Amino acid sequence: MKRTPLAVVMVLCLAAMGLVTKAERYSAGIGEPDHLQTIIAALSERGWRVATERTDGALGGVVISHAACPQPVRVAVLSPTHELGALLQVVAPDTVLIPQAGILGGGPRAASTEPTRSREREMIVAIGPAAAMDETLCADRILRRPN
Amino acid sequence: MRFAFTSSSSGGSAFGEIDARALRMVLIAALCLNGFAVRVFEAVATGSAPTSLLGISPFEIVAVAIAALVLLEAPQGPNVLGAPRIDAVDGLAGLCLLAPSSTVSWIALLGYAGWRALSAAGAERRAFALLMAVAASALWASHGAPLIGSWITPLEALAAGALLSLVEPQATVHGNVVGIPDRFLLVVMTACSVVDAGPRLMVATAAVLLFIGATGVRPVLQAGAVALAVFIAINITRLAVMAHSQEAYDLAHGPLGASLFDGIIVAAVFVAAAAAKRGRT
Repeated sequence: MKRTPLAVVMVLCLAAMGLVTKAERYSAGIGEPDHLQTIIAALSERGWRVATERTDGALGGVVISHAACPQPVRVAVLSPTHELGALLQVVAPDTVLIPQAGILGGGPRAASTEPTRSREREMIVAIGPAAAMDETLCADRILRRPN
Repeated sequence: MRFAFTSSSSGGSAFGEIDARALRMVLIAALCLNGFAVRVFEAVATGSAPTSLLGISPFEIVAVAIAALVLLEAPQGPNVLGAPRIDAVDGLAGLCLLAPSSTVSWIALLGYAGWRALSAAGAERRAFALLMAVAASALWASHGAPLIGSWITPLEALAAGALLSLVEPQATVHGNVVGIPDRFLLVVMTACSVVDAGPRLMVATAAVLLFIGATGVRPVLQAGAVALAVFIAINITRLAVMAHSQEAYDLAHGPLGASLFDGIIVAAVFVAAAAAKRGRT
């Protein structure tokens, strides 16, 4: 009669341990602040200025601006297979930016139940009014599609 | 088909059965919790937790709560949930909790509920089937929906663009990007699409029907179709509002817009289910 309550405690322990393993794997894949700083530094080297930081649910990322670009451009980190990344490769091929580790926002990955498996698959793209709609982009001046 | 309820350890006593029931309820809750875990981590990490119910769909909350209620209210005694013998299936499902993947937890719940449903009957069987559907819809949202999302989201962007153009003639649509050039652009993500939420909506509708005592495939299909139609209409409207401007996006995507959207859809599910039970749809 006392074995079943013990089993309940064991299941609770398993559940807690499971949450810990998932949290550890998730935290190992999520972008830490140093990744964000790396990205900002890479953009700064190319003449871009970080205007505001935001991680809204739709895109996530960082809103940046450039002296040569009248409109701010929002940067998001996406999988190359994501529809936004695929779309940008069609409408604005040069806006696909550099492969980079880390995740800035959760929007594109909101439906995922898996932590990041491979940071190599993550990629930064730029999107904004100019980047998405106009092939004479500002974004293409700074970051090019990797070979 | 039922198990033989004999156990040398408990002797099949009522106390033992109640404890076995508690064990399996805790196990099911733990599988759900671990299934939701990564979404909760993401919602907290991205700061969207307050507006997204910790990343958990309200449809899933409704379905899991109703499945738990039905299981708890199932007659006490020799049934599947209360079978005193703790078997290998219980143990295997418990071990799956340790895997550092929410997908494994959902697969475990799918298998566990499916196996138990084979031996259960009546309301208990339907509750296990509901849990299977919850797990299947979660797996679909994370692994199936992204595969076809890139085909559906442009269609939704097109519909939202058509709606937006009624008030903003300069609205444009490029793929899954809809908005007004030089003002605001919205990217329709799979997570915002009916592809992602549709199956969960159907599961929640089936759950509500189970809760109000309606059984059978026909009421589920009737109520599900109505709820799905309402969802698509409201979702397209919401996308059009979000694509209008940054201010409209913040309003529709923020706590007020999200709560209003969820409230309307959940109400539609309940009304459609009640109407289907009465045979009015």
